Amino acid sequence: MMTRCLALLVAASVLSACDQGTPYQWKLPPGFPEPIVPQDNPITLEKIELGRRLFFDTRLSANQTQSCASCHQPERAFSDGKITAVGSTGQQHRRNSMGLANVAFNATYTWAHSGITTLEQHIVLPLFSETPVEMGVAGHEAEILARLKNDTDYPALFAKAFPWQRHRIDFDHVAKAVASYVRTLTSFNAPFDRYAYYGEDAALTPSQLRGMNLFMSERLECSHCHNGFNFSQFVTHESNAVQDRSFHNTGLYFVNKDAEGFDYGLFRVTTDVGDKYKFKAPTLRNIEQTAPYMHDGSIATLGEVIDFYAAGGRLIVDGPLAGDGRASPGKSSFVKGFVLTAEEKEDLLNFLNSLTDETFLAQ
Amino acid sequence: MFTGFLVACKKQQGEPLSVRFTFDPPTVLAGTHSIRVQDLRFYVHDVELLHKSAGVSQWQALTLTQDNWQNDQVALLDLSSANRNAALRGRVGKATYSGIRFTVGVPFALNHGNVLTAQAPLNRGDLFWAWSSGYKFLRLDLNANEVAGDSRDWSFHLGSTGCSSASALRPPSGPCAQPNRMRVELLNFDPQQQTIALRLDAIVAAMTASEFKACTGDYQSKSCAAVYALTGLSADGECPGDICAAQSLFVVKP
Repeated sequence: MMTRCLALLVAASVLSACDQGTPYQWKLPPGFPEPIVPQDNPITLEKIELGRRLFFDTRLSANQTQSCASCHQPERAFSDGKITAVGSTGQQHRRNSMGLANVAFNATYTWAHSGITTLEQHIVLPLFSETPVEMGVAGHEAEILARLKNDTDYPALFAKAFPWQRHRIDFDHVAKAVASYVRTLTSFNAPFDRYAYYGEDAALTPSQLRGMNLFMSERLECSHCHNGFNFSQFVTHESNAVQDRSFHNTGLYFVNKDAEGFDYGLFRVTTDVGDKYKFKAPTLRNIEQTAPYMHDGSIATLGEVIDFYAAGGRLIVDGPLAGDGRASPGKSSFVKGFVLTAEEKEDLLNFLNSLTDETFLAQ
Repeated sequence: MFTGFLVACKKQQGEPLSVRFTFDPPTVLAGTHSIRVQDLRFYVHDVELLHKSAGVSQWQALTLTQDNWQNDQVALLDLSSANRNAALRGRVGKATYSGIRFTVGVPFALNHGNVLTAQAPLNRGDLFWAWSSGYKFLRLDLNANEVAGDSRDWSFHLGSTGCSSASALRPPSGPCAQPNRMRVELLNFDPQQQTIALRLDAIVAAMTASEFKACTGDYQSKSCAAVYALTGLSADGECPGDICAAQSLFVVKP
């Protein structure tokens, strides 16, 4: 009787291991809270492995020319170096490809949307979007899934990742697997982290320390919006589910009323006039690698971004986007301009470069 | 003797008591459609209630109930649009209370640690400046929608200044030069019947006086003058005789 009980117990634990898969150990500094993972998609090594393969596979786009990694390149901190993204059919996007460092901690996704709160929700957008076309899946679903089903490796990978629905190869499982992989793209090994979270006083140079103090100062106000461990207000984790989701108008534009097709940011989603020109403050981690900058890639270098904030916004003298962004209605009260010496600007740039995580870029 | 023991026992346990907060809706400014309260949160500690008996006044400490908004030392109140946490909850000896005092702020010993590993409610990254200066004791972000079509943001963030440390990411070696902790005392306050109102009308008047220039640290600057005056704090970030008698941010609302 004893032995039989034991045998049953072993069987039960094997079953539950099958159910859960192999748990993933987060790569975080000591004491860090873990990101929130949706309850219907627990993160496992098997899903991560499948997601990684899918992320880099061009067969996921209808015409087999692009993978997720085409616009999210590891060596550029998962951005693409372009002013604005170009989809698989060559369509130009309005926005700059965002880097993916620490997206597991994001409270919302994309440049300006208040309602997309999980990676699973987000991933279907680049897959299925038709205006503009990104991966171009819409209308080609069966064809793309057939590529996966007829592949030599994928059926086994899907079966391992989703053991209780081992034969289901569909876009729900694709999104869940890719989301699991993208969640593992944590970046916490920059010199800044060694200084901040490992207590290594020598990890930053004197110039970087001066730049960090400038960054955090009330004079510059950078850290009001780029705050916390991810340098973005849009952060959520297991010990802080209460989220700040303020979007900001940085004074980049103040266009004439008839500027056609202009990207007003959050306004497009909420249709609240007060949300015009508002975008989210993205993370600054690995910012050195994610040029050009701003939601539309309209500023080429970090030095010019600093100049833009120093001026308290941007004046565009002529052309369809002409207008004085400095006087943009609803501009954030933190974008009030400042004066920096050449040395201070150098210090600030050196600090921003201390957010570059070489181990993250090398993966 | 036996009765006395029972009473003492009961006092230690205390009775549940809530202290409710609200804000006075701002008067509609000329040329303005509406004022939106985007963020209105503040930390409170050392809450005491006034009990008068036979001509003797006695302050009793409110023991805070512990949850996501309160630990044993600090409570966070959130009166933003969502009104997520508009009351202090705790226990205090059973009695009739007729006054309250509390400090707006985070005690120094808790103010300069790691926000990521801090116990709730000190785990709010958006209320934390950095190790050196610590928490924003009060964070107020307003948005004014003007008839002319303009929408303007304004902020008042109150916290310690003049904190000397090796860098923004290291805690200060000693107390900050301007602590900016407001000790508020409201006499003639009945927690059963009344609420404490934050005077948003006075704040909006201060916002107008500052010509919408945010006040988030340099409290002696021109743009801070009007709003900082509401705190009753002196230039050294303290109130004469501990209590901020000159404050006009908090009032008792019938």
